[in-house]
Amino acid sequence: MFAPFNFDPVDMPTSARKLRERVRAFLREQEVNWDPAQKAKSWTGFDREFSREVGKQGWIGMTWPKAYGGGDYSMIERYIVLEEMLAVGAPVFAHWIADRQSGPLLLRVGTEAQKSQYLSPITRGEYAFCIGLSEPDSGSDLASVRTRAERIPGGWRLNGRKIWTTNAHFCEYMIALVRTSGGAKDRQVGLSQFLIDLQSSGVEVRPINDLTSEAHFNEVTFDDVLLGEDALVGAEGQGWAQVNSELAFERSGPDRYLSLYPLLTSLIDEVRQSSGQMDINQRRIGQAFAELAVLREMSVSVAGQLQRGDAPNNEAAVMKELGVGLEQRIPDLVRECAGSQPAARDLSEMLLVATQLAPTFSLRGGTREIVRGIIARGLGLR
Amino acid sequence: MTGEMDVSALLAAQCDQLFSEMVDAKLLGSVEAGHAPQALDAAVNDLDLSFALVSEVSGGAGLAWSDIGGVFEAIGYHVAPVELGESIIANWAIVACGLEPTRNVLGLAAEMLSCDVHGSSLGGSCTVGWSGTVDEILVVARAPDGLFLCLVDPATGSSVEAPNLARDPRRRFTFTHAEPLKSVKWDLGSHGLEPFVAVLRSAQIAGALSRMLELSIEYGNTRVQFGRPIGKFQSIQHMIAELAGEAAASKAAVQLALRGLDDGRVLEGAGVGKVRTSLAVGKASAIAHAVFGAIGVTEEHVLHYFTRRAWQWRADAGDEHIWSQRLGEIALAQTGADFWPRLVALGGD
Repeated sequence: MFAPFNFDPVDMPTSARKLRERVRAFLREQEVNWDPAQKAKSWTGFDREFSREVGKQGWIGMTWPKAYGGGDYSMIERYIVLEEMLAVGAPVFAHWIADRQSGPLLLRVGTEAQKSQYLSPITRGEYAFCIGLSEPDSGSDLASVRTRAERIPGGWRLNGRKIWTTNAHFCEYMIALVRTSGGAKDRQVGLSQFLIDLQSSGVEVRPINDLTSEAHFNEVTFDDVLLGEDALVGAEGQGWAQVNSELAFERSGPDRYLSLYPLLTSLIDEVRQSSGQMDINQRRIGQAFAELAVLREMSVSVAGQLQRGDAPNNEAAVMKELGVGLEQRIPDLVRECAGSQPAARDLSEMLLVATQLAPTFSLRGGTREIVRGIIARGLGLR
Repeated sequence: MTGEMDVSALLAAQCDQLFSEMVDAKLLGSVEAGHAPQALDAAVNDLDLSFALVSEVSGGAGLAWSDIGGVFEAIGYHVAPVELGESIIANWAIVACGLEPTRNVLGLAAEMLSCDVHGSSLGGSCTVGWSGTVDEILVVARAPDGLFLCLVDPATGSSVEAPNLARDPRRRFTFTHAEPLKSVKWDLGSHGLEPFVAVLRSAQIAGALSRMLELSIEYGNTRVQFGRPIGKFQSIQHMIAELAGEAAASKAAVQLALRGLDDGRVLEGAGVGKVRTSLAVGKASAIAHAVFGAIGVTEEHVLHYFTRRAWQWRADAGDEHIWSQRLGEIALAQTGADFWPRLVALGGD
């Protein structure tokens, strides 16, 4: 039978329930600090103090070796912590990117010195990372990046600019994809990744207000920024392959279908109190339950494959495409069941934020159109 | 775990091979014209899978639902005109309720009938698959003192043909004060046999969608317009990528549903499976037909054997709307904070 993808089931480890209970108890204490708008922001919410608390629990860099501050946990145990955080809309961004991508990247291709320097502080919630990919003239066409690092004695000189970098204005470090040789016509060849201290001389971070009237993303300009030899991440010229090796981590997690989950919790409480259209509400909420359950099955499966060391990039693309599709429908689901201006204040505040954030869900981490292209190529259509 | 995986894959491969050899458009056309597929039925009998879920002490293979999912999917992938899935469920139900295993041909009714105390005096209507001969109909009926699994002589009811999108031979039976041959207490869930048939149909849908996807990719890579294969056009690529997503989600939904049956989370497991796969049918079949254009809606082309059956299976044993409502009823019976733990518990916590 034709089976182009693998989403085989995962057996939860015996440690799972105890861990989950610990996380829930921790979150019940923390949750009182978050207002509805914060919860609706979910994993793009930045709260350094919260991340430090998470670090104290040992829940950042969980899968990393103990020598680097990790906990030697499995990807599945890590998944449990992540999904419980998102289910309550915890403001996890201050450690999210480093835990999800930057740390694992350093573990895979970083030097011993890089691992020693960065990983432990990350696990304590002290170093926040952002990802420098898009540029003013390079969006979906990532291979056309023009930011360039030139070799100089003792290191590199960096010039160019990155844009749409989420929360760069709060972060200590960026890992950026830049050109180290050749030109635009060389495409994926000649790209490398660098770890950049955003406090360095010549780095300017300019927040860009978005439609919510707040700044969530930034333009980051590099003007003759001097980087040491140790700023290169992995091998020179291997940037494209390295970025691709992050994709399954980036696209398959619970953050690709739970971004607006807290709205559902409030929605259920709201419609339980309302008298009207019970049939419709049951159907809509029941359908959401089914879709969420299946997305979780797929997302957990990818975590299991990552644990085995596989590279389920196509599965991650499918998971992301379906997951963000559901996330983006949640504001309309709320409006249909509870009205466009829900009576409950927390729900109505969340809906306000969610409606404005939702368009970005299918942009971040690779646009819907790019992701569909990847799926099609995986199916042999290109 | 590895052992179980092997059994599951092995059984699926056996069915896949048999159906590859025996099920084609010609056979399907002939079955739809009213001819029973005798050679296929005989070959399926030889597989001896009907007692797969029956416990070993009762002469079965003692497999779990999760082990048999691949067989159900293979039936859908080949749109095999067999009642093997129904037969596996019927034999399981009989033995699970404490009746003696039987080698009689059983017709399975997903709908619930009503009856009097102790499972007597059966009444109501139900649809039953009717390929070849059926010796007894298996149905769950609601009595004032609980639910009963009843074995019924078809001759005690009246029946008419039940036309359906799949053009499967089906009959709709009506019983009025019919006395079952046997009645026994049903303790396997509030919705009788329907959730189990719903999971079978979900798996058949997942199989059929995989095939629609495969056919669409093949056509996209071979059909040439504007001087290149249509699969080189981004619009077609994106449509097929969407179809692939629906097919993948359907397979995952079935996997989750089967585990739900194994873990005793019957209603939620079946509900999730049937809702997600039935939702997928609309989008997937629309895309497949769009990719194939006019040739895909001709009688001659094979596509309609898959899309028509998927539309029928979506409607069988409770469609996505009915099951969504049931899932929603369960969800709204508790607070918003309870929704997440339940979601997690179903998939594995």
